[in-house]
Amino acid sequence: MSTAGISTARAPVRERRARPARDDAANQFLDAIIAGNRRRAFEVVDAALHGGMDIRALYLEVFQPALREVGRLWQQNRVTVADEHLATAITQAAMARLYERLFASAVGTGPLMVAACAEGERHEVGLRMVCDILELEGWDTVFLGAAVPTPDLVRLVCEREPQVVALSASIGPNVPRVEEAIRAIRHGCGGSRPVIVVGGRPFAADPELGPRLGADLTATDAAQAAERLKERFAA
Amino acid sequence: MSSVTRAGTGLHPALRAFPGAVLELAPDGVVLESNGGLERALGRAVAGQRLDVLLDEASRRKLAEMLRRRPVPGEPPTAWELILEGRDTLSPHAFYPVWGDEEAGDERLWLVECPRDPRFGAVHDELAAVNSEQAATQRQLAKEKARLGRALDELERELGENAVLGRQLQQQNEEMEAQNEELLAMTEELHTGQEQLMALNHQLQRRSRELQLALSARNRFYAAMSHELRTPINAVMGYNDLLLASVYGALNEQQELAVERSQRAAQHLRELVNDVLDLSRVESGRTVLAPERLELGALVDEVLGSLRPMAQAMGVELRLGPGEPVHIVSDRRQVWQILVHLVSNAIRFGGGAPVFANVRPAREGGAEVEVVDGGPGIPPEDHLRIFDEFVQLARDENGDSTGIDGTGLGLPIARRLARLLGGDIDLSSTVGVGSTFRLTLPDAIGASPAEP
Repeated sequence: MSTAGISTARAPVRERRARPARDDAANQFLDAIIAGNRRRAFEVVDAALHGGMDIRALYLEVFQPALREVGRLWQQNRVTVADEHLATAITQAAMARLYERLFASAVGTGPLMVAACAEGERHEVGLRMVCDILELEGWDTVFLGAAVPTPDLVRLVCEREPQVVALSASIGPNVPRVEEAIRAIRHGCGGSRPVIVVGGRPFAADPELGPRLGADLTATDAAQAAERLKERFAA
Repeated sequence: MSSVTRAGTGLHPALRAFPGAVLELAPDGVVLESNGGLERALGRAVAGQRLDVLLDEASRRKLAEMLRRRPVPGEPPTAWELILEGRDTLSPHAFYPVWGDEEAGDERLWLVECPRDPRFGAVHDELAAVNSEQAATQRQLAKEKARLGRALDELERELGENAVLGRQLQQQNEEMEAQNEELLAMTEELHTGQEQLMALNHQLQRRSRELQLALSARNRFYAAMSHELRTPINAVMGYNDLLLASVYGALNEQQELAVERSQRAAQHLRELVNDVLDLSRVESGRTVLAPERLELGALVDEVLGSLRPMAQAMGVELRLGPGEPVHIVSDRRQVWQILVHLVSNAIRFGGGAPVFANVRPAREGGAEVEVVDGGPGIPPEDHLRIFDEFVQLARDENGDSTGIDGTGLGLPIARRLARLLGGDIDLSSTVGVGSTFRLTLPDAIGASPAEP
């Protein structure tokens, strides 16, 4: 995707650091997505898989740190939002390339989770990672994507009766949408009472925010979210 | 910090009309002047405020960095993206910083926003939405594909299993058909066997009828012959008696001996005829039973008494064992006859040893009479045979010494009579020790005889 209207010259992105092989993959991937080089990014992923890295490790040790690093580089004014957007789009495409493998290895007999970004929320990649990682753990997940209208979400939850509903928001103004969605699910879906988990930057910054809005669980990143949900449903 | 810079000097008219936001900042980040662009974005005044309070956390740090920096000569200008607090991080404002002339003591910083086509936001949003939807759809499709793949695998596996099952069924079917054929063949054989059996059965029945006819003919013959024989024997014996009684004049010793021999022979003959008569009567079923209450001990004692002369003649002692009276209801005449046969056999073939008779209630109900002799005994292979008609075991060495010979009919008659009375006779014997004949009789019999 190269819809960036903002185009800037940019400084070299990354200092060379001595790191083990796993970090090499993360660094190579980061270089590729910062450069907007989709093909190179895919090659890095294929090489990592070929070298024995599993999908979960790719998510948690390559994609997630690479995207965090892109955010940090933006703060240093080394990349623009457009670069970041492109990097995210390439990462999503890389994730999509893994789906054949991911869903083939998934058993899908675990709990059902419906995941949605709050109304107006366009940052979806974090929530998508949570879904994919749980899918690897045998969960059945339905990922609805960015900016899901609350009535549509409530209708789907009433229809599918999932054990878990995951909601995310990345900025303060979208937090009230999350609260609305929680209330609508609690009141609109009579008998079923799913566990509601919330995530995103505002919830990571304030761990009490989720419970205040009526959520059952909150987490700071994909790995923690998956871990807490697994714990909750292990008993 | 001078009051001049704090007050601001007013923006150049060209910057006031610039489509992007233009801000003039004091070194501490307070907004000195604005062309109104930021006010439009925020919907409120910004002059006199610190710019950083309007920014999100990351952008605040970036602003501080911009305020600290000084341009490096020759370095191309770089835009800085800043995000207003609470605004979507996908929609930053990109500012080119322009620093005042430091040497002239101007510490102001101008931020000139890179203007955006107002349509850009809409296009960007649209594309982002399409991209997101595509990604979610792609994910769902991949998931469905995997699910279908698994279902297909399952189906193929089931098909495979079905094929195997089908083959097994067919095999079983063939086996069953083979078994069925075998069964049919066996049934056919059975039918044949059955027909043969039925034919055999017919033959047997015919034989049986013929045998019955033959038997009854034989019995009629016996009866008639015995009757016809008895009359002349009686006549012979009568004349012998008269001769011995010297009715026809005295006999010399030689004559007397001859007549006595003739008499003994006639007696034996009469006995034989009587036995044959008895046997044929029993076999023909013409024996009519007359049940009465008997004390068996007394009856045995009477039988022993009647046979004592014969026993004494042979030097044999007869003894009745002690015991309580044993009462039964039976036919006195038949029981008497059975006992006579058993005791006289014991006397005849007991080798001169004493003959014991014991009477007692039988263990299995009814009564039993044991007749025990001390004779040579009967080997086991002859136990059944001696109950057959006209069978006499070899005993030549003492055969004729008593002058009283058996007819070979005594035991058969005795057993037939015992069975007629609902009882039986059995034998236990040890060679060299002696024999015991045991007569068992039921407590009571009915008035009519059973089948002979």
